[in-house]
Amino acid sequence: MAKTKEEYKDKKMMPKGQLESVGLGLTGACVAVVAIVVVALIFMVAQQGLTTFFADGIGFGSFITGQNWIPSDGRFGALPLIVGSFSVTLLSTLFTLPIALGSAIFVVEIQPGFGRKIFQPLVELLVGIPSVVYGLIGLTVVNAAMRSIFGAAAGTGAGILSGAIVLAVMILPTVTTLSIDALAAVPNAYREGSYALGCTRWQTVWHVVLKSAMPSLMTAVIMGMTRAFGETLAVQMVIGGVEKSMPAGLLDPAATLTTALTSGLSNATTGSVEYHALWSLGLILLAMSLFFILIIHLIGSKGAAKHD
Amino acid sequence: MTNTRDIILTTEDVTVTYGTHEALHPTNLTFAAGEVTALIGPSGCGKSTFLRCLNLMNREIPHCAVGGHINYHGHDINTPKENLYELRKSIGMVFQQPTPFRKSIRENILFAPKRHGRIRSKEQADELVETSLKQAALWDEVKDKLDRSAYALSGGQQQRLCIARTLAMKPDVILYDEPCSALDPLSTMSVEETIRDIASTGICEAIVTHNMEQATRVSDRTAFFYVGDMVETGPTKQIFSNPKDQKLVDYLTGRFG
Repeated sequence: MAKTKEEYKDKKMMPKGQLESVGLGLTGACVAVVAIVVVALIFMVAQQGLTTFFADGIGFGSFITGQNWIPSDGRFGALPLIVGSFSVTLLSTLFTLPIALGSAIFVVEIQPGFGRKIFQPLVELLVGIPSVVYGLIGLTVVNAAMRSIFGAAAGTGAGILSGAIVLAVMILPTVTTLSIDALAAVPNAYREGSYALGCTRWQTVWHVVLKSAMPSLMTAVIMGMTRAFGETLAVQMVIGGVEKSMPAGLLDPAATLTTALTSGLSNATTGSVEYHALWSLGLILLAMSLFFILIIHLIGSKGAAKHD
Repeated sequence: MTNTRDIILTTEDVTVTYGTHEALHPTNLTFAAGEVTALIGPSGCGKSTFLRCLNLMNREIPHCAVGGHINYHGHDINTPKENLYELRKSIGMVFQQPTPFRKSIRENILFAPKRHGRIRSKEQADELVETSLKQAALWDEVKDKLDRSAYALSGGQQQRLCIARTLAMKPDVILYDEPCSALDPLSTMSVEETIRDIASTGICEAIVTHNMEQATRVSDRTAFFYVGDMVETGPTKQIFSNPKDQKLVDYLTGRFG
């Protein structure tokens, strides 16, 4: 039954067609805001970051491969920072992965009651701790431990290894929780199928459960790596902040893309070469995180295709 | 007919309790080589629970206790000392949902034999893949794509792959837990044919089914379960043409279930 204009007025309602266009407008506006923010952000970082190469005359090749980052001398070689970022990221993932995977197997396959009710909330608590607290603990505990283990070789204790250890603890909850979810999502029928063939629990976990959960586990690892790659504050507090030359070993103080960016900003005047070079570091960071996200999407779509 | 065949499995007063609830009351059944036994009954009657006793699959469920004796080749397997993993090599099981592993068709077949150290050479592996798939009537459909993912197969093919995977362990008993309830009629038909063919090679089979037509098509003997009791058992023809128990009569005539 069609309503007359008067009826709508009485009930203070909008006509249906109008209501739909309002809904469309509101939700569309939200989408537009998000899209504009993303595009503007990428555009701005790219524009500022590329100025280094196009206006300031620094070659992209020498920027990426240069082994000295000494802005006061006009030397902008980002390789020590790139190496620093990748080594702390890879090392921390290497430290975290076995522990995260081991505890996920325990929680899902061995003691689900304890794991789900006590262990998982405990681990998730770690996510909420601010990174400055991790940095503080790293500074007092990890760096001191490095000094007492490696003695003079460790110097102050600050270095890539300390940074990697602190990061490993920081990404542990993310990787663990996602791994638990990944293993729990494997249908029980797969386990039973394996048991029915006379396989032991260990054979089932190793060959069937982990194999089935592989795409989700990869996503868990990459999520952890993304976080490690982007983390600044905690790393800055324990890594030593030496960016001018290549680190020679794991105990050497170093810097990452993020720490060099933050510590450099206080010295750089807007519009200077150094300022643009810092934006270039930001551009590399942005490109890397886009790359990580791309991998996650690729794994996701490949996994979905296989299941179809 | 049963007397002429070798008895492989007998259950004596087998019960299943979850916590304090007895889900299956004492059940006595006999399974012979080369015979298919259908376990029928309404949902929740204990037929799947009973089936899962026969390869001690219920041990995987917490708070689930199995009582009584299960004699397999004259030796009681329902003891804490029984090696589950050894036992399940010779008593295979196929489930309701096809559960191929996330591997190629070939690796699905070779998965268990490899784990149990039965693969000595590539030739032997190839032969095992071929004979198992042939026995499960899947060879002709997949022989050119053995290295493709098992997920690429249709539901019916996946279920026959699971049967082939079970056969690769050379069991003498295969248990089916509603193997066709997730399949379309054509796939159901081919799985049923496979089950009959396997029985003709002398393997002892038991199948839980909701589908009474299926029971008549596929089985030699039938056991009817109702609310945790095994009510009546006998040759399939007799059960369906001349049922004795009133509950079975009601079930067959569709008065419940």
